[in-house]
Amino acid sequence: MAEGMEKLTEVPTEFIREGTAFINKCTKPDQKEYLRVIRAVGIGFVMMGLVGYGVKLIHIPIRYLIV
Amino acid sequence: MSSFRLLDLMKPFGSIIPEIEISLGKSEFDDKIIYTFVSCFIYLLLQFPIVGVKVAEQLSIKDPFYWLRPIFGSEKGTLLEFGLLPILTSAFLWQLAAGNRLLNVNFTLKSDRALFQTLQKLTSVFLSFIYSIALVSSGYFDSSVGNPLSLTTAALIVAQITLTTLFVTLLVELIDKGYGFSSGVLSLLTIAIASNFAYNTIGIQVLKTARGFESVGSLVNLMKNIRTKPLGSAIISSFNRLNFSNLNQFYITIITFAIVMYLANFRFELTIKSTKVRSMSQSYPIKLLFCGSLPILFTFTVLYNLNIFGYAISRKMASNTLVKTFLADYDIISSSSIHYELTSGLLYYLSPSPIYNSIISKFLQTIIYSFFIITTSISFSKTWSSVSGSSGNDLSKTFKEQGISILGYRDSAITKELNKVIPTASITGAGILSLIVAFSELFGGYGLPVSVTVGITSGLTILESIMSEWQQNGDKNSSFAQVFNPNQ
Repeated sequence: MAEGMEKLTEVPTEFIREGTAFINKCTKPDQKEYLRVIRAVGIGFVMMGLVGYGVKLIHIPIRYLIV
Repeated sequence: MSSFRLLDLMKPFGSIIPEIEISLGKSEFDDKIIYTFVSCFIYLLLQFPIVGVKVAEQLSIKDPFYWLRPIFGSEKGTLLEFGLLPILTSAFLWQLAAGNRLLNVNFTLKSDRALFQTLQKLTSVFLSFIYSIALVSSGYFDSSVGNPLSLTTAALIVAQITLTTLFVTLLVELIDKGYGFSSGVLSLLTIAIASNFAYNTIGIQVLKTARGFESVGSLVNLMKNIRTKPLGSAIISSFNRLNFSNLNQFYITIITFAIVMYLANFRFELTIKSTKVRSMSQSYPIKLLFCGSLPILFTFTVLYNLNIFGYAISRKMASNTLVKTFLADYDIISSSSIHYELTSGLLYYLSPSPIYNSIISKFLQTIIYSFFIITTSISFSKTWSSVSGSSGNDLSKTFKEQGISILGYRDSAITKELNKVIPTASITGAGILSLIVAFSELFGGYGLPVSVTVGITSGLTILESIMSEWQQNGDKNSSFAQVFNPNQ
């Protein structure tokens, strides 16, 4: 039984150990880079959203026209 | 000669199913942007109400899939009832089958690739057909067309949804075949998710529910509440309303966005050097989120499929207690609600359903739901990193062809090193991303934070391919030069 438990916990612990080791080796974005990326992507995402929402708004009159 | 192959069954269909022809010349950068943009525009325009479903009654469809919809760009009661779900399901299904050698396909042959594509398209249309029959027969549309559903109306609804899926597969194929950037599904998903997010935050529409008129957007709703109610109750009611998105979802989404953006910039840098030309060493980044949002998408594809069939079966056998206790049971919490919530059964434990049965079942739900999301994502990413054509072996082959070696490794050790780094990256990335997603869902995100996670990671993938294309052959006379090189 104890052996079975050991095997059961072995996979996740191995995974977590390897994962943390990998993350520690990773290059992480510094604050400047992070702020730049988040601003660029955020603005892009919101812009796309607004355009898409605009298309959704076109639907409202169309729906009443075709029904 | 060769044994029977499933792929060969597709041969007669090849000529029937419409297909996008690969462009003869190489598409211009500007053309690609316009094609991508217009395809996305058409996809959004497809959100027409289904003929047969009354516009005024569209809200009366009680929605059991509301927490899955944002992720797949689907919209209830419209032609995009399933959004990109059939296409994603069939793509995942066949790619995994081919990767695990369950399906015998030789991707180096052009004819095999064409057959594989036909197979995928046919499957997605077929799946959409099955889904819509499942929903129509389980009485999903009944409240909006007048009970009982006539056979003609039912057939009409099924036909509309199925044909729309066929049309969307063509849109996806158009982008995939080099008229647009990177992947078609990801482009359409990104725009659908972005506009859905805008709709849920600043949506100015006012819809009539049993609780009176409600603004759709969470921020708009907050403004309206502050004007009409005392401050305390105004804020509380903007945080906990259930029919449309609330402020709680909004804040969780913003936090998730910030965390995922941070993780998306984690990378493991390999120092590479050309063996042919004497040059400076460069760094080749391997991203932590190696598979992007695909593991999450896969997990939720599984969940959506389970829920469609779970809903259909539980409605069909409403009197069967066995189905209710073990599979799923859907119920409405209050009469003003426009959603069905899962109340019991296996699917309840695989959902972030807010129903509170007992402390034990709530606890079990939290554990099982997170466990399901994390393990499915991880096992998917494990398989995917080896079958998707970006595995360590493939990358080392590319390196060899281009005469690149990794600094500090002998040529023979490169494949081994890449085979160690790439699976670790993709599994770790998928694990962390799924953990975030599970948390955000359990805190009451109801799909919105997941959709934004998927949206920004796929958006980043597309942006990368646009940028690399721009750097390779961004012609100076492109009319988008201003956008990409503002300093010029």
